[in-house]
Amino acid sequence: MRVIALLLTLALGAFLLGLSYSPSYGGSYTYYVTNWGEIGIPNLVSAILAGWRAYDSLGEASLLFTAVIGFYLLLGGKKK
Amino acid sequence: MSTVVRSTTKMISPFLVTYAAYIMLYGHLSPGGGFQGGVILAVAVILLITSHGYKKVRKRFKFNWASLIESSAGAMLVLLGIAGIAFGAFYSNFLPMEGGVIVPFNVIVGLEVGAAFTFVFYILLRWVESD
Repeated sequence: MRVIALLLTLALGAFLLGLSYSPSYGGSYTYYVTNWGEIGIPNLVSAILAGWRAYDSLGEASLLFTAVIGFYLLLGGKKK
Repeated sequence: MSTVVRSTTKMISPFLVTYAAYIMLYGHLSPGGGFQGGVILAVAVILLITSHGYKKVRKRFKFNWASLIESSAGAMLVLLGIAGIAFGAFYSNFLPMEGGVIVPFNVIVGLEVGAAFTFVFYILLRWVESD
């Protein structure tokens, strides 16, 4: 059992090492790096997260809201 | 817990709230943002709960406040996006200051995240202590 696990881990490591890690040019990467002056803030991460991708942050906040509703429905009632 | 832990957490948690406010308000200029600031805001309350116990903290930081802040911040986040429709697009950047709509967006996300973590911690504690 342990040998199989070791072999699987080594195979996964070899697979991950074989991937190409050079940054890909073109597409959204070039667009973000060349056009981030149009947001008007000196922070590229915030310009992407709250500027172009505010919709993603809304989804993240609604995900957290759903988690809170689930907690309240499961554990928030009167104790028996 | 012991006196050292209680007085230290009492001294630290106001500064944690100040730091969370700084991270939220300057999230568009320096590293940080809404989510990180909200987590630090929640940690300020969670530290007090772990050191002083749930029964004492519940008198000051009410359970209903957390749920009120959570739900109103969630509604304001959507309203901020809908207000952008009047200026062209969902979440359009209509405020004429530096960063525009990003500053209130970060603050609202921070309030939402902080209230959510505090709320989950309160609910788990209520569940544990009701046995």
